[in-house]
Amino acid sequence: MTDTKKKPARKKKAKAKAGPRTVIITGVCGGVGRVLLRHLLAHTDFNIIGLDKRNWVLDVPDRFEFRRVDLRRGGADDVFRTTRPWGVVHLAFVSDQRVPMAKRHEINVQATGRLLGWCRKYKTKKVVMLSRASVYGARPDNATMMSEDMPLRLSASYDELSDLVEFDHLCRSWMWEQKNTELVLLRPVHIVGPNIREGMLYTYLQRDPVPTALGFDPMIQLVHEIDVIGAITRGLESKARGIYNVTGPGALPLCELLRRLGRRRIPIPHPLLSISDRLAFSVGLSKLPPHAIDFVRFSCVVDGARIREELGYEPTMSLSETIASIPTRSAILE
Amino acid sequence: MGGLLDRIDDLVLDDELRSILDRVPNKLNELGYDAWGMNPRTAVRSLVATRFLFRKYFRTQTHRIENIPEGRVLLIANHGGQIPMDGLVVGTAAIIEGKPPRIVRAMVERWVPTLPFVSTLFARCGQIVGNREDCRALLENDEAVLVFPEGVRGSGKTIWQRYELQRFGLGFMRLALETNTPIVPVGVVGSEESIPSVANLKPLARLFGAPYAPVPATLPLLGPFSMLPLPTKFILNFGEPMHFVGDHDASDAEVSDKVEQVKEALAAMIARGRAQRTGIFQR
Repeated sequence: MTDTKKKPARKKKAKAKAGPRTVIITGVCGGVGRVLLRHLLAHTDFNIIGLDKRNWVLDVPDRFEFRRVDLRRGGADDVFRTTRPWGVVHLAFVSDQRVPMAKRHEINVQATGRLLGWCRKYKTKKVVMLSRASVYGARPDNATMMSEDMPLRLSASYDELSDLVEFDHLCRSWMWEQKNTELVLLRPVHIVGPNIREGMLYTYLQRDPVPTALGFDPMIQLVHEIDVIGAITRGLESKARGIYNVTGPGALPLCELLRRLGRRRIPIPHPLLSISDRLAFSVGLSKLPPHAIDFVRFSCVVDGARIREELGYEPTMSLSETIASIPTRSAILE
Repeated sequence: MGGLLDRIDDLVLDDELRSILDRVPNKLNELGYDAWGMNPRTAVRSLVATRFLFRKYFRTQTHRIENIPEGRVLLIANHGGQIPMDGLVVGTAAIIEGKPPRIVRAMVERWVPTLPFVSTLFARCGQIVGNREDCRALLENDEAVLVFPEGVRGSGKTIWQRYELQRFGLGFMRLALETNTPIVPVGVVGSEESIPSVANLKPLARLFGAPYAPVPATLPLLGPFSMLPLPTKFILNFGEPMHFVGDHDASDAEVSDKVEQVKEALAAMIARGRAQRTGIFQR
């Protein structure tokens, strides 16, 4: 640790605890959170404090402490006050579009802002934030190799998704303002894996038959949960600060993905698909948000070169392994 | 579905196309695609149609195609004839006569991705939406990229302006300098008479948001079919690779000088092609 300012205070803290560094994982009960916890306990000497408003129902392993707190209410600040974490991985994020806009904004933007405030106040050294590659938006005039510098256009056509973009912007501006904290903002492509039971692609694949837009077959990028964990770990352990797209082993057409998963497809002309999806979503028949139509028509392919060059990240899972890790429909129903 | 496609492949892919498929040098992921959605299998399948146009309909002659070097290359061609048959013919030449066969990546109009079926077919065949980032990434991936620096200024030309090179954009030269890419001028003869347009109705084009509105000379005779290309004789001349060095961020004036050299080389290739031709509809 090479803290410049306030070194004595931190040293005292570290000595008082006389142990390894503490990392807080928010939203630890989610799929990525649980896998990350297991990985960090197995491969690092961090002490982990998990925060979630849900209850932890699994065994509590060594070097792990669970605190049931809601970041929007009291209690979380005291965890920071008493434990003085060295690092924070923020995974408490609601992506389900059926949650009302105001509540999503409260969780995704306001709570994140409060969390970043505590990180500043209690001198957290390292913060890893998980945004998503879909913030670039799926649009016909997209570049295929979208770098981290491209504008975020997801909310340009969908107001109701502004919380995702605002979250990303909040982290980005904070990153440049706070020089004592290294913030790493990750934008992974669609995360898949046995523990991932959320997100747009997952919701989409639950349909049977799966609707596609007639005549359109956009490229889809997948990344395995293990590889995302690898990227988060590299973000924690490196000295970097910055924004990184996190890509997996390659892109494939949506229909090819459905074929390999053995899902039945039903191609529907896109104007019809758009209307029926909007309707089904608004009356609660469908979990698939209206903006998903863009992602079944247009590609949103990002360039993952920067994280490979700067953090040395490489996906470990092959494309076939990544696809095979997507739970089958029968497994989901069980 | 996979089984059906294999059976179609058995029917349509002859020895020539199979051998092409084995030799394309593109970098692909383990499922056979690149990030832009190109798939050599589909690209080669589409050759069944484009090879017919190339050989039988346009009776294309190619000269010095071996001038296309291995690795990254920018093919710079003249543009004309209202619909981009020139792109199709150059692309077909590079894949069926190139040594090794090259899948040429051309830049398509921005509205193409909004079209059903066409968007998918174009993407699988390696065509991409024109923008600088992707062009740079493709060149760094050692691909062959086809650019028409005249853009719509070229394709909307009337028959009176045929083979008169219009103003060139400078973007291609900056990319060539940045990525250290050789430039091969490709003189295309035949395309600019394939849909002879006698006028460009600019107000009409503005009304429909189109880049130009041609009036084909054959309109009274053929009606709507006048927008299909006539079976003109196509002749392609590939020039020597040109290597440029310098600052890719230099002023427009400096880059312009280099672009002029390419323009001159291209004009020479076109002149050679027109001299080789005995008639517009020559056998």
